[in-house]
Amino acid sequence: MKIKMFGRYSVSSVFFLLSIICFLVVVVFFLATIFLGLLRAFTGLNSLPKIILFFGPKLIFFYLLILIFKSFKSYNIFTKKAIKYLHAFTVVNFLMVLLIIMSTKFEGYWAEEIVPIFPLLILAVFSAFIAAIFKQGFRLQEENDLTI
Amino acid sequence: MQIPFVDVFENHAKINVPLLGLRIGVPFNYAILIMWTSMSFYAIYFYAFKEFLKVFVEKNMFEVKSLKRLKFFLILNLIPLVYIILFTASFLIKGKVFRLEDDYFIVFAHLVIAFLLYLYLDVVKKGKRVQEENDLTI
Repeated sequence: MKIKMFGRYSVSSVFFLLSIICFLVVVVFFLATIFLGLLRAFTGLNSLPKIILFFGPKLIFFYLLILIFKSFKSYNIFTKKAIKYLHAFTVVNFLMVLLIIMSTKFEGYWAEEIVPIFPLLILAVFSAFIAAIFKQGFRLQEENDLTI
Repeated sequence: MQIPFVDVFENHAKINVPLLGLRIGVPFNYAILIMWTSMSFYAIYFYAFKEFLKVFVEKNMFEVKSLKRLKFFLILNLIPLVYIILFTASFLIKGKVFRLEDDYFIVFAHLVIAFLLYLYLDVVKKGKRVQEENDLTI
């Protein structure tokens, strides 16, 4: 079984669409929380800095995902842009982990709110690895383009 | 059934070690087998993980060797899927109430890793093609 991961009409293009939808959903919730008092009372995000701290990292996360999958969609995947976005994605994931750890109130040894950091850490490490592969691929591609 | 130095009871056996005077109890259930299988699976899994990380340490990663390593690790990550299907089937056959347990979460994590590995595999394949082109033109 062969699944196409990169290029047009591939898994990457599906994920590109999915990340656009997620980004739009987050934007809608962000605006709704700012303008609707009911939602603010319901979620407990009662001040503007709190709302921005809650939604800001998520907005950046999904925006970077859109950019990454957009670069995966193109024919030539080993580009400088893709490496830059992947590095930025790694940094954003680590920052989100830090934010979660800082906002957690530790009572005893273990807090339930700390659980979401594990998928974020895995994503950060994997994107760093992909960036490493892309770097080597980019170097090879450059050499290739120069020799012709 | 008569075995020397072994007394068989209803749900366990006792082995009498001569001279030392030890009596070792052996429970008759499959829990120990399942434990051994999972432990040996994870031993192989982490060996494969080491091999997978070796791909990134080497100077040239676009090679057949690294493709093989990635494929092996990918297949290992798909094995828990078989286990979970058997697990669910056993629940359904026994007619017990179906519950969502930790096992499902672990298998889901393995599947996510498998997907990411497939992504790596495709990137490395593309890189290998570029590498081959590069080697031919020189």
